[in-house]
Amino acid sequence: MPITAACFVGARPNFMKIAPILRVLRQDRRFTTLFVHTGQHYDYAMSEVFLRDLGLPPPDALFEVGSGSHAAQTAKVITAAEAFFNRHHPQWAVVVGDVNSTLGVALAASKLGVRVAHVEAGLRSFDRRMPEEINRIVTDHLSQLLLASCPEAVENLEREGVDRSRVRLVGNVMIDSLVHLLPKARQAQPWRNYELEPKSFVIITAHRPENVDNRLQLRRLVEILEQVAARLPVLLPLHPRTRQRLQEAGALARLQSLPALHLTEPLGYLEFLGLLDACTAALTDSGGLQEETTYLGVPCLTMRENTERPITVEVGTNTLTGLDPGLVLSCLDQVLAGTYKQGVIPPLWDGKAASRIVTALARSR
Amino acid sequence: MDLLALASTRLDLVRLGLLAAALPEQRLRLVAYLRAPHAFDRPDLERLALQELTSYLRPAKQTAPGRLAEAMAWADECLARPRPDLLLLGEATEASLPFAVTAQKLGIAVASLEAGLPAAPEREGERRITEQLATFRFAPTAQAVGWLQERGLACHYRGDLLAEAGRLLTEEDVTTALSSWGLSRRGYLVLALREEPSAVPQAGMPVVYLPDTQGQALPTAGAWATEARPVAAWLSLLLGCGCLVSDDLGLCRIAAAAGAAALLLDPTGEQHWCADIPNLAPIPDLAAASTCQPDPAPPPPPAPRCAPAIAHILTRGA
Repeated sequence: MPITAACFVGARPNFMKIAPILRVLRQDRRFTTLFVHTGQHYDYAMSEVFLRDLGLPPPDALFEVGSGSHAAQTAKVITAAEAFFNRHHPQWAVVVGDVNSTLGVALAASKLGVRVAHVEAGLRSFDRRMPEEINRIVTDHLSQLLLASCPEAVENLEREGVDRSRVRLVGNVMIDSLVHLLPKARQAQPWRNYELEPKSFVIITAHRPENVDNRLQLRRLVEILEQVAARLPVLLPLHPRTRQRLQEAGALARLQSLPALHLTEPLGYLEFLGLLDACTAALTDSGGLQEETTYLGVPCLTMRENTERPITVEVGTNTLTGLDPGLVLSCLDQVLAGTYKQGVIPPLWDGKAASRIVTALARSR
Repeated sequence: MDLLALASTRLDLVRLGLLAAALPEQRLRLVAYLRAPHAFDRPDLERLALQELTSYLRPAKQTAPGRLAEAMAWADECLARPRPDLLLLGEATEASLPFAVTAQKLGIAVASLEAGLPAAPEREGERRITEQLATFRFAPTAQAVGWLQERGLACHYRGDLLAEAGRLLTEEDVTTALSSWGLSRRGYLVLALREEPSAVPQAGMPVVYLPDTQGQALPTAGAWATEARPVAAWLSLLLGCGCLVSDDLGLCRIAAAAGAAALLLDPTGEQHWCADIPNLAPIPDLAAASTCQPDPAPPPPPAPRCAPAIAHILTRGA
């Protein structure tokens, strides 16, 4: 009797983590696999382009929970997940990352006795102001199988009293997607679309509420964008939230007028990966980008005060700069002078994490 | 300071009544999650110097995930506007975790007033996660402190709020309530169980059956059953009994602190966490309660140290 594993995604950062797992699961006869999209991100550019790029199949179920407050969104996911579990009775609910869908599915599953496997377990920023940190903690403590991407994550779980027998160090599954698709992304040479040359431009992404919802922080972000664009061409794929905040603050038109600043809509996975691989440096406040740049050896300046991925700072190419224009520019100067730190790829970031995850699922029957 | 307290059981009302008395300058709003048929009646709340409920939820959904989703959406309504400075959580119930999660995401500090002690088996997982999320953890017993520390969780140990429950009523209150039932102090046994027992202990004294902490009365052969409303009457029965037999550690702590012989029914033998509570002992089955002997000279109620100390930490920390 095959094991039924239901794999859930809700938002864009989930897709590149679930894609390799789904690929391995579907080749494994021990499993029957279901793919579920909660619809937390429902914008085409934010969601379906990613699904297509990553070769993900159409979802077996789509919850269409849409937007709302954190609690309202989580409640909708719980309700929809309950109906799904009652219909399909999977043995495993495989959840990834730290979005509200991750939490909602884990809560519904735990109430119904469906075992939860959490991919990317144990990451901690130790910053409770981040809603994702709350999602991480609760999901980890609800899970029967905690699949950690790095040794620090395992240590965090041990410190919180999680039973070590439930934890597996499997490596970074997002890197599986990167390894799988990097040749195709390089071949496309997406920088040509923006009349850019490899290793001659900077990519910037920013979307975190603490950076864009606060006017003072947003002003600092704009200052950074302007100053970086004065040194190098900048590619800025705009998250809908950021676009709206810039518009409200009257800064969007000013940025659009900068000749070295290329504003774009959110990009698909392949195009973005090709650009990331070719850029001089990345500035970001996202989580996954810190890991992707470490793997690619691209300098990454993270515009946050903390990170749940400290390994990218300790051994990788990442530096936490916050929204400090002076620090950002000083790091960028090091990059341009060739004196910025050279990172190494952490252990088990080898493109084989999904296989280890599926083995763990099969052995934890 | 604006405090919001979630109450789900009468034990929560006891805790909050004591804290409200120690926080006279603060605004303490009360919301209630009510799964049992009874409500928190206005006279009950007034008797405990608590404000009227600002909101309550009687869950309509029949399934656990359904009720969880309901509680999550309700928590959002209660916490988002007006946003309190601090959320007080007592007993682990279906609503505790949704409130803790929602509060933390809104940047509201969370205080767990019952940290480190076991909840009902079906609530244990949620209790542990709520403690993990809490900003302030108040451990009622030394064992609870050690247990939290094993999980790497810091806590405050200022004593047991429930042990001070006797301070909510006067001696006269208790005597009057007991005499209305024809009971005398230390002259009866209270049986308080989550599920109706098939038999009652034979301890040579009248047996009063309190079906569960939510207050719904059920008939039980060999015992006189009461719903024990209002809350002052319920508390009087606990404070005045000679012996309490219960599967609820909170009820046992109230009775034990008031001098009764409190016997915690624990068929599994796993509830070793009551070892440091005077007058409280585990028993494997109801037959073991037959040897119960009340202390003829119970101690006076403890000094009100715990509630003021907790109130001080909350007002200073939040």
